[in-house]
Parts: sequence; structure tokens; C-alpha cells
Amino acid sequence: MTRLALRVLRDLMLVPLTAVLVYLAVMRLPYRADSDRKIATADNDARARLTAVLGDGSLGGAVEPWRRFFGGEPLGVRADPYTGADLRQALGRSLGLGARALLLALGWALALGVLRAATARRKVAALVDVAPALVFGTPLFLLALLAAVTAVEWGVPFQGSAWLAALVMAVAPGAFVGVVLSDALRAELVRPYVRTALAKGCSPARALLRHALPNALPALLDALAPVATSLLVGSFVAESFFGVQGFGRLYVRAAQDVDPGVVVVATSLFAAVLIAVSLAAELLRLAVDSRARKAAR
Amino acid sequence: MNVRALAGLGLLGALAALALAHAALSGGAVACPFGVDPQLPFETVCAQAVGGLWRSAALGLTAGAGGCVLAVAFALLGRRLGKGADLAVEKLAELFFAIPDVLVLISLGFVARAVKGGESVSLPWMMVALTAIGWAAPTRMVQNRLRSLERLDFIAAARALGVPEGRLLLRHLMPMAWDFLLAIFLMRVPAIILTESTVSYLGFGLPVSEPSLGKYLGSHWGLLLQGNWEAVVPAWALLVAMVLGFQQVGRGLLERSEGGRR
Amino acid sequence: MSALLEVTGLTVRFGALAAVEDVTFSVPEGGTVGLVGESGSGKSVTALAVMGLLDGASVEGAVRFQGEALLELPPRRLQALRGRSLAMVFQDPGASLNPAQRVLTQLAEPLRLHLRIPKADAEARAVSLLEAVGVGDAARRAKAYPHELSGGLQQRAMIAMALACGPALLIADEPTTALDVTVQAQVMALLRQVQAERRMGLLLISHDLGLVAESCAELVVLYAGQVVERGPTAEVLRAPRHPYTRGLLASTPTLEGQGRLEEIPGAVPELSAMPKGCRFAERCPQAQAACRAAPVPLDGGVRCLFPLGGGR
Repeated sequence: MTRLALRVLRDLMLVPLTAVLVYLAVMRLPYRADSDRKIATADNDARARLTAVLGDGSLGGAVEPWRRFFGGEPLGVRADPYTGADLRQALGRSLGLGARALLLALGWALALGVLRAATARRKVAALVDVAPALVFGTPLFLLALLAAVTAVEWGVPFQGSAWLAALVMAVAPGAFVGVVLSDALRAELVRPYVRTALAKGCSPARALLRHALPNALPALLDALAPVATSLLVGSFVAESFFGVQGFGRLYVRAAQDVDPGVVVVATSLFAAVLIAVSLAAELLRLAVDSRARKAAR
Repeated sequence: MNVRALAGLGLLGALAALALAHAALSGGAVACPFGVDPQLPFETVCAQAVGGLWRSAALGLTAGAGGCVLAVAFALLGRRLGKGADLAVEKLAELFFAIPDVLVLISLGFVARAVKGGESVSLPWMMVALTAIGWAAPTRMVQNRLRSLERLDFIAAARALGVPEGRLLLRHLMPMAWDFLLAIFLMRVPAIILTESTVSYLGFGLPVSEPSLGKYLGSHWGLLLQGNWEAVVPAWALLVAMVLGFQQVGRGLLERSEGGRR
Repeated sequence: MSALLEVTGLTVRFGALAAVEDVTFSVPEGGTVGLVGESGSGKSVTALAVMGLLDGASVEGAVRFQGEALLELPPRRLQALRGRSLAMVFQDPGASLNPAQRVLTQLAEPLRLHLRIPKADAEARAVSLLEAVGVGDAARRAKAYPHELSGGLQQRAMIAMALACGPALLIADEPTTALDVTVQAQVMALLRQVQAERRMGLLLISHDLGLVAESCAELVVLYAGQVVERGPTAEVLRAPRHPYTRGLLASTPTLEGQGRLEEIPGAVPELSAMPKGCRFAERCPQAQAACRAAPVPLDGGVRCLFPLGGGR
């Protein structure tokens, strides 16, 4: 138990550590005085503007962007800067989008996983296999493009559509989890306890869903961290493509426009999300899998 | 050689043949059936797509190879320096692996813009950046492979006979890892191509005048909404075909190399 | 006594290879029959074919159970019989119980599936089933996951699960092979006890002739997918007529144990290289040219042209 607590503590320590490192690095970049629309303006040189908003770049200054983030004050260095409030609002929007995408991804993963496992030894298996291969071979923005073209054909406005964005974000992680799940299911279906289930009168569907599926679920938890990564990247692309004013789009914009304050806060938050997800996956695994729980003791 | 690998190899061969055929025919009598690039009227869609294919492939191959070389170097260095270093390499690789490549590349794009200005980065810069982020996954795989090979009896026997550690690594362990290395290299290539195309789409990639497939698609996708399929679909098809080709060869080889171990 | 289970001319093929060929035997109501043979002789395949649990195999012949032709039944009807009147206990209880479900849930499942008993009642009955198969502190152990129980307790739970709906026939496939020697005897005693109490048919499958001999009234000896000898246990043990059965007996240690155990020279032929004639001929001390010439029919309970003890 103490070992577990130590691990949680260590992982949590990574969050402020990343935030400080990113801050120190970003503040030490030799910003080019690019007069038209970047950091520096005519009356003010880049460095002075930077320190005015983000502190002096010392270790103690690392709290300054966060004070502004939580206080809702201006964080950007451009003429019309993003404020902490903008960022928080965008973050909320993205979390909602991510939750929707996760839900869609799980649904489609479950369908694909069960279908792929159920058809394992039939001729249609090759057909079912083509879907994930195509998804893995297509960059996300092309999927978004397909969705947009379809939406235009159907007369649905795609600009600003959170559901379309979520749908596109869900495709790749869903396919990934679906493949992981069905591989696990195929491995479970040949285990003796499935035969026992059939021998006591379970239908093949019940043996698959009630007996094999729960045993394949820990594999799904292992796929959680890559899914979070995939959703994060998906949010960059889908939000930019569909014009959803979310955190991913804001981050891409900030990097394009060289907006250090936003980059510091966003990068650290992304790191926090990834660390939190991998921790949650591990804890969930302990909660779900009685065998893993036994091993951890 | 299994079916998967052969299918992938066939796809890649067809792509290479297509690119070579284009090189032979361009400048000559045969016009590009897809017309000219609406955004750069002095280039044909064919030239843009095939040029993008070369650039994407070059990025994928060099960065994939670079990442694998780094991976082997780190894994061997870790072994050479002892258990603590080995573990440190493992933890570092795991940490790096958890960070999405696209996120790192966007941050690097931010740095590039801050330091030297401009909207795009050069091909060599992109190669270095992609190599720098691509070492983590292969490092973990090489480490795992070396550890499982290490448990084989003949390695223990060689060690018992007093074969020095360096020789053991180079003469006994590495030869068994070559096919595996080739497989992970081939699996890295499509991952890198996809990452690069995503980053290029987001505006952190190569210049519009020398696009990779991803950059071309990223700057031309709007044409699709105007119904201009001819300008977009060739590059799209080439990208999907190349990624699928590398993926299938890589997975096929990996299956074979893992099958052979059992 | 009428036959509960009648297997006639059962042949199971995987692709072109026949794992079981022309197997015929029957289990009388309340009777005990032992199916004996080395590993690979087709014992388990026979049992799984009866249960209708073979995937990807072609099954020919006839299996009649309580008057119903099992092989012709629609899948749903067969599914309704499995676990209800036709139950099976498998070899490795550790792997045959679902690791993700509590023992209680697994025990209650057949009750809920077949008898439509509500969850709470089914679970209460599951606990009393565990008590009936000699599990002490049943209420607590029912709540455990399989890996938290010992091998012996796991197999008792498997048996309790098979008995849940009061089956007419129990097929036990190597029920003690995966268990410690000390536990083996207890589990066999339990099987004998419940069989006698419930007047249930028992088909006991084992490679261990001694084990089967103790528990079964009748013996069926399999070799390379064929029945080579069958008959009442006492008779077969006293005067084996097939050379293979005699070899098997001579290689089984007994308590009286006089002299050294004999071994049967050679090995079982490969599935893909079955001889045309008698399958045991290559290892048989009495084999003659006629044995290798043509398939030998099962006649009078023995598949041998020159049975021991003379005459056929």
C-alpha cells in the first residue's frame, strides 16, 4: 500500500516539475523582435513585454502565469491577449468535447471489438480487419475532411459543430481500443472457462459478453493512456478543422502566433492530463482486476 | 514471408514504380490527368503529389532510421553502464513515450518561430525534430527484446564460458535482433509520416512551395468543399497507400520475428 | 435398465483427420461407465462431441440422450439441455472457472438460466450446493474468487455447479488429473457419493485405469480414436481380451505390486498416419499379417482378430 502511495506521489510531483521546467525554458528563448504581429511592438521590446506579463523568468516567477490563469487576467503578450478566463472557458469546452469523444470511442470500440472477436474464424474477418487498418493509415484531418464533405452534402453546417468534432476525434482511439479489445477477447474465448460456461447452458453470446468480456476489460484499461494521447492530438486537429473554440485550437493558435504565456499554461496542463490519465488507469486496474490487486499486495 | 508483409511490399513497390514513371514521363508529352495545382499554377497536381510522396517518404525513412539508431545506442549504452543506467533509460523512454509526438512538434514549431521567425521550417530541421522525438518507443522495444533474448539458455551458456560482455552483445545478442529492428523501423516510418502530416496540416511544417503530402493536403483540403476532387484525391491516395504499405510490411515482419521466437 | 446415453458409430473429423472413429458405447440410467485411454486417444473429443461443444469439427454417427438425437438438435435446444440434464466437469478447475466472477455467481448461473430462479434464491441454493459437496464454511467461500480457493475446493465448486440443476448424466473429464494426490481420492469419493445419492448416470473419463476401475461398473477402452474393448469392469480386469488392455493393466501399479511394471513398446500412431488395419498392430506382440491387411471390426466387445483367452 505504501508503495502505491509513493508512486502516486511521484507521478503527481511530475506535474509542478513540468510546469516549472516549461516556464523556465520558454522564458529563456531568445525571442526575435518580429515587429508586425509577434511579441514586440513599436514602443516596447519583446523581453520587457514578456516579463511584464509572465514574470522575470526566475524560479519564483513560475507562479505568475498560473496566478493569471486562475485569476482570469490577461495571459497573452499580443495586442488583444487571451485572458486566463478565456483559457478556462476553452478548457471546459474541450473537456466536454473530450468526454463526448470518449463515449463515442468506447461505443464504437465495443462494437468493433465484439464484432471482430465474434467473426474471428469466419470469412468476413478479413473485411472487419480492413476498417481499423484504413483508420490507422489515414491522418485525422483527412477523416475530418470526409466528415465535413459528407456534412456539406447532407446540408448540415459543420463549422463549430462539437458533435462532428467529437465524432472525428473518436474514430482513431475507438479503432485502437476495438482492436486491443478484440485481441483480448479472442485470447479469452479459447480459455477453458468459456467452455465451462457453454457446458452449463450459456448461449454463445452470453459466454462472450458475460464471461469473456469482463476478463478482457483489464486490457482495455491498458489502452486508456494511448487513448488520452490520441484524443488530445485529436482535439488539436478536430477543433482547428471544425472551428470549435476549444483548448486544443487555442494552443495551436498560440504556438503559431508565438504567445509564450498560453504555451506555458497549455503545455503544463496537457502534461497534467496525461499523468492523471495514466494514474487513473493504474488505480482503476487495481480496482477492477482482482488478480492484479492480489499481486500488488 | 507472410501474406501481410507481401501485400505491404507490393503496395510500396507500386508506389515506387508510380513515382519513377512520373519522373520519366514529366517534362514530356504526357500531361497530368489531374491538371494544374490551383494554388501554384506552374505546378501540376501530379508533380505536387509525387514530390510530396518523395518528401514524406524521405522524412519517414530518415527519421525512422535515426530514431532506431538512437534507440539501439541508448539501449546498448544502458546495458553497458549497468543496471541503474538501464533502468534510467527505461524510465526516461517511458516518460517520453507518454508525450504525444504532435504536442512535442508543435512546441518545437513554437520554438522555431520564436527564435528565427517565419511560417515554416526546412526539410532538414523537420528530419532532426522527428528523429529527436522518435527514439522513445523503439528504445523500449529494443530493451525488452534484448532482455528476453538474454534469458535464452545459449546466452547464459556463452556467459558461463567467459565470453566478454561486449562481444556477447555484438556477436550473440544483436544478430538475433536484426529482423526485429527492421520490423520496428518499418513500423516507425508510417507513424512518423502521419505525425508529420498532422503537424504540417496544423501549420508547423514544410513551406507551401516544397510540400510533403501532409502539407499539400493541409493547404489544399478546402478545394474539396468546392467539389474539386482532382486536386486533392491523388495526394490523399498516395498518403494512405504509403502508410498502409509500410504498416503492413512492418507488422508482417514483427509477426514473423515474434513467431520465430516461440 | 434402459440406456440414458447411447453413442453409436461416432466419428469426429478435424479437416481430413479423424480424431475419433466409429465409437460406440452406452451409459445406462443411473449407471457408471469409464472411458479409458492414453492422452490423444480421443476421450475428451468424444465427450465434447456428446456435449456439442466441438468447434470446427465434423461429427458423424448418432448420439441419443433420453431418447433425443443430440447431433440433430437445433443449437437452442441443445443449449437448453446443457447444464440442465447433461452436465460436465472439466480437467483443470483453476482454468475452468471464470477468474473474474465470484464462485457464487458462477454456481447460481445455471439455476438462473434453466430454472429461472430469482437471483437471491439461486445464490442461497448455490451455498447449499457447496455444502452438499463438502465445502466447509460455504457461505464465506462462495463469495471468494476462484483463485482464492485451493484446487480441491475449486473442483468441488465445479462439481456443485454441474450438479446444480440435477442432471441425469454427468460427464467428468479427468476430474482429478490436475489435483494433488491427496485431494484426488476425496474428489473421487465425492463423485461416487453424489452419483449414488442422485441415481445419476456418470461417464468418467480418465487415462488412469485404476481410478476408473474403482468407480465404474463398465469400461470402454479407447486406442487411437477407436474402442478396442468394452465390457463390465470386473470381467475386463480379470480377463482382458485386447492386447492393448492387457498392456494397460500390466503397466498400472497395484498395491499388491509384484515384480516390475511392464511398458507397452512403441507409441500411438500419428493421426495423419493411421495404419489401414489394426491400429495397435505395430506395438502388439501377437500381431500377424491379417491384422495389418484390413480394418478390424469391433466384435463381441473387442476389436481384435486374435483376442486373448481364445475365440471371439
